[in-house]
Amino acid sequence: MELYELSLTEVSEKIRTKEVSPVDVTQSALARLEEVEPTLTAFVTTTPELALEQAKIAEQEISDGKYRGPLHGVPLAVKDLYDTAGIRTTSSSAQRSDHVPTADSVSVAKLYEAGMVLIGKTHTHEFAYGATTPTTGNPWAPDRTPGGSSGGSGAAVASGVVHVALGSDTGGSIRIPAALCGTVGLKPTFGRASRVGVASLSWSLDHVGPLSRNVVDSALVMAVMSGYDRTDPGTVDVPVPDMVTGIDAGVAGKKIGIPVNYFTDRVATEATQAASTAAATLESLGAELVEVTIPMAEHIIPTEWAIMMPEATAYHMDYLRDSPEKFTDETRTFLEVGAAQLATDYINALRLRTLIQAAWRDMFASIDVLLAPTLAAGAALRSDPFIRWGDGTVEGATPAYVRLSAPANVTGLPSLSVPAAFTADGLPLGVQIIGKPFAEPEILQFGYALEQNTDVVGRIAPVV
Amino acid sequence: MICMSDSEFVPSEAQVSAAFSYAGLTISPDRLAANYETYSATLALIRMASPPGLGETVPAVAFKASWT
Repeated sequence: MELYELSLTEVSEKIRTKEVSPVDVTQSALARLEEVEPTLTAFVTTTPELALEQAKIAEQEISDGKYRGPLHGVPLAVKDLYDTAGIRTTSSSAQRSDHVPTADSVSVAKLYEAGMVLIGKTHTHEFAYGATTPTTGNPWAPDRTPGGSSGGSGAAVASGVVHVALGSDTGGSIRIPAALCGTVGLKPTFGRASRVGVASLSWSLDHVGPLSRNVVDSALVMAVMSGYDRTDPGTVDVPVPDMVTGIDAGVAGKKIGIPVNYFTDRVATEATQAASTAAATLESLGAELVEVTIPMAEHIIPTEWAIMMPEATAYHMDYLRDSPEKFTDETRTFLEVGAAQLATDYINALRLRTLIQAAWRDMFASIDVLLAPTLAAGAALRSDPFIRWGDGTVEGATPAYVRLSAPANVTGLPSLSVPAAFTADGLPLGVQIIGKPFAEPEILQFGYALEQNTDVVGRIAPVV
Repeated sequence: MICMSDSEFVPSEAQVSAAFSYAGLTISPDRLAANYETYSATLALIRMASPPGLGETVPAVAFKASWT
């Protein structure tokens, strides 16, 4: 067995006990990268020289007794939306093809401080404005989308190159690729972690977080990324909990909300079945299933788009006026829409968000978490990014995927996507566990319980 | 009590063109025609987030006056 095939926990323990060196682990990741990257194109930029340099430093530190913790010497991939000092950061856009930041994003700086080793920068749907990442293939079926916008990160984790890759999530962009690639993906509570140094899509809806092979990996990385940052006005000054200790506490006595609307409309049978099976698994472990009605369901998607679009346009206005031809046509069209939106429509969407938050708080009074399919369908073909429903209607892949993931962005609630099943065609499906504000430890416990009682979490795609 | 709008708003091509001009964007007639369906459908979706009956509801905004 190659080192990259071991779990992060196993690798970490071998590094801690000096059974293996971070250099060995990094070389294994780079060898796997060389195997799969020609097929997947998950990376914009790879950083093998930097990785080996960081790994050698880690090796020396550990040898000197300066062990930093369970992420020390562990390889990391970073979405190309995150600034990395001295390393080209393009957001997968021609607008920033030569952009080299002078400072690291806050998340990258924290993970470097924890001792992680950068393997490279992963592809995003251009500026995170879409959910298919056309540049990149799905490790389970390279002619299919890995999802997006953090599609390169999903592909990098699912193919085994890294255990953890960073993503960002404005309408589902961590959880969508996690579900389609068969990885874990954690979108934290809005305000849990700083977005400073990450190109914005929508300041009001953006979140940063990890995609990972196993649940505990996301817990480890999210805890490091978390914390108040006065330079990000969205962050909240609350204590950062230990997200790992107690992750095995189980779910007995917990109440799980099972939606009877919204998450049941226009959803593929296999995705619905995967969520039902996950719910049954958790019920067998002592949790109680409680049917709930999603409040204000008809307002969720209009609110998401009405907030996101003008904020994205405001962020990109200089490019849109000065060099619109450098955007892909899809991104440019979305940005143009945002320029035509009334300010009053934007403000009213923010007012609706207030009401949606209050209604969801009421719904959560009778439950601990909500469990639902992460996405309405599995991975679409890259050459035909549409979902065809039984009634003959055709839905674009991006709006179809965002439908079920956007509620956690509009409400700001933490959501963990966990692999739940494979379709008859061998494509991964996920379930999401949505928790109360700042209840990341609780949703991680649910995810861990699913991982321990199923056989679909932690798999590496063969990439053939 | 909020409700869905009774009639769906769909901006005309002339209205979309005027909005782009006011926003300082140069959109050719060909581009406008080619993408009008996407522009109008998306703006119609967005308008659904502006329903009647919002009353005294305040927007969910992030501004804090604190300096720390």
